[in-house]
Formats: sequence, C-alpha cells, structure tokens
Amino acid sequence: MAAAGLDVDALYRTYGHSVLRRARQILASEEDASDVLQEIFAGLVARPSQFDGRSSPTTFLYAVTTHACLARLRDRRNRLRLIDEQVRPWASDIDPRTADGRAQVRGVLAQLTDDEARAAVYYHLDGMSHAEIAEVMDCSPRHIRNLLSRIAGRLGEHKEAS
Amino acid sequence: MIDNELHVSDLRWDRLLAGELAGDAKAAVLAHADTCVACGSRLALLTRESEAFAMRPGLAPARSRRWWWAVAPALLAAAAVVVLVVPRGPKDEAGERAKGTGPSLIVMAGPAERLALVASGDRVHFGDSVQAGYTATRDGFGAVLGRDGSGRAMAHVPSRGDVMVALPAGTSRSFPESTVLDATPGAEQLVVLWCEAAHPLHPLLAALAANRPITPPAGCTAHHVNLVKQATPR
Ligand SMILES: [Zn+2]
Repeated sequence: MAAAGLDVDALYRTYGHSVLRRARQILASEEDASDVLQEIFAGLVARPSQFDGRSSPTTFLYAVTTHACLARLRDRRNRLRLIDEQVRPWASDIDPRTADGRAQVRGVLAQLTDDEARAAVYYHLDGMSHAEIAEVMDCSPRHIRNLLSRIAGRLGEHKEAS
Repeated sequence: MIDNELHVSDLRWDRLLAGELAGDAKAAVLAHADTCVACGSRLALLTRESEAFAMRPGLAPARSRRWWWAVAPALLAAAAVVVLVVPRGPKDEAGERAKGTGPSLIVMAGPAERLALVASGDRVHFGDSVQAGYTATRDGFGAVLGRDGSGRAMAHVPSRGDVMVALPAGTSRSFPESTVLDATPGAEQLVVLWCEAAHPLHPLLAALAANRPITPPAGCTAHHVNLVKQATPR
C-alpha cells in the first residue's frame, strides 16, 4: 500500500482472493460470493474511511466479509435453502476441518445470534484460535469461549434434530 | 473436530500470503506446514487460489467499471469530477504523518462516458479517454506523462508547455485536462505526478523516452500505471 493512501486496487489484488474464498465458504454460492466481493471493494472506494488502519488489512477484511455474508444470509431469507443445500466441499480432502462439520455449521448459522454466527464462522470455517477470533471480533477470549460453548450446544441440538 | 489451537488458521495463511507475517511468526507457520500434512496442503491450496485470482484474465476492467458505476451517482453530483480517491492510510492513525497525508493519485480510462479506475495490466483501446485524479491536503502542481508503444514520450497534462499545472488542494479532484489515446498499439506507460513545487518536465520526458526509470524530484509523489493499448473491439 502506498504511503500516500489506501490503494483499493492494490488491496483488491492482494486480498480479493481471500474475500472471495471466505464468502464462498460462508454462502456456499459462487454467484453470491462474487457479489459480496464487488460489494466490499466498491464500498471501500466509496467510503475508504471504513478502513482506519488500526488492524491489518487481512483482519479488517475478515470482519467486513463475515459481516457482509451474514447480512446477506439474513436479508435474502434463504436460510432454509442453505440448510437443505448439498454444499460442495471448498477445500482439499485432507483439510483440518471436516467437510461434515462445515456443512453442519453453515446449516445453523442463520439460527444463531450475530455474535454467535460470527464466532462460528471464524472457528469452524476459518479454523481460527480463540485469541485470533477475539482479535477480529474485538472482544475478550473469555467472551469467545462462552460464545463457542453456546454454539456447541446449538450444534448438538441440530444434530439430534436431523 | 481438529483443535484450532494446534494448527494454522486460514487467517494466518492469508496474512502470510499478503506479506503481513515476518520473522518468527512467518518461520513458525512455515515450519508447521512442513510437518503437518493437513496444514501443508491447506497452504498449497490457498496459494494456488491466490495465484489463480491474480491471473484472472480480463477481470480488472470489468471490475473497475462496476466499481465506478457503484459510486458514480455521488461523484457525478460533483459535476465533471470523475475520480475515486482514498485519502487515509494506515499510518495516519498512528500519527506518524503529523504534517498530513501525502496526495493520492489515480488514473481512470475508458470510453469518455464510461471511465473506470485502471491499474497496471489493464487494457485500454484506441480512442479511450484518460483522466487523472487526486486528493491532496495542500496546493501543489502536477503532470501526467506517458510513453506509448512506439517508445514516444509525451506530456498528456499539460498538453502544451513544459510547466506543471497547478492542482488546488481538495478531495477527489480531476487534473485539468484529459487525453484521448491515439492508435499506437502496445505498452502505454503513464506517470501521474504531484509535486509541492512546479518542476520542468523535459528531464522526466527524456528519462521516459530513454526507457529509464523516472526519478521524481524531491517533494513529488508519482503514480505509475502501465496499460496495454489495443484496437477497439468491434
Ligand atoms: Zn496443522
């Protein structure tokens, strides 16, 4: 990034792949993921002050992408479609996170509170540690532990119900 | 479920790929990838994906155009200004730049009615317009210089004379002139300059003509954009 200011085009080139991949993971739709990618970078061009430089661009874009995707899940009221959808695997066969676990998490995202949904994405889809989630969500690791145990409860209910 | 505390998250891989990790942090994740098959394979996958994203052909112009339309109404309200500019950088927050930020410079190109933000590697066509823009907290001077596919160096702004044009301080402002690209195909280098003082252009044009790197005078900021110019698609 040039010292002169935020170069959105350079940001796009460096971080666009990560935004697109994460949006695809959360939304399980290539088309929706491309829309989110456009939405986020158009938003940065229009309102560059959203990125205040207090965190790294990666951390900032993780938060923005998660927010945009969860909002899209809610706004489009397509929760049921996503829950029923057979989601194709997004990673290699030997990914540390199991494909089953990911599909299950995606299925309950829309039923979680905003905080829970964000923590679930970071923990189950991005494989982040408690400390990393706390940093991105700007809250204490203790709060993250509480959120994750609530989510584990919901996942348990979901499993029994299915 | 695998323990996230023992493995490397996508966040850390993305930071590594973006060049945000250095020293011990970088060495630690790379060492882990060497010994953990799952993480090594994840890193390989994310690396391939990021490389594929960088190579996406034809993405930039279409994408830029969409950005442009996404923000166009607000900017058109400011009349002929066709500029998207980002005034703040990460360093501002830390107060490291007490004298205010340096200028931001951009280039937009395309058919006159559909200018879009362009960056190096983007394609432009014969007859396209090129318009530079800036945001600066101080009054300054500027120029837009270029070198076309035949190796000819020229000043696009100012279109005549050897003196930089005045650029009043402001946000999302256009350089006072735009250029229409001619039909010389090939590499079209553009250099947008903002300077605290007005400098003569002939030394810079001589460097461009000789295909030497331009050394902007002190107090200047340069924005380089290397485009590919080709015939207008029918
Ligand atoms: Zn591992």
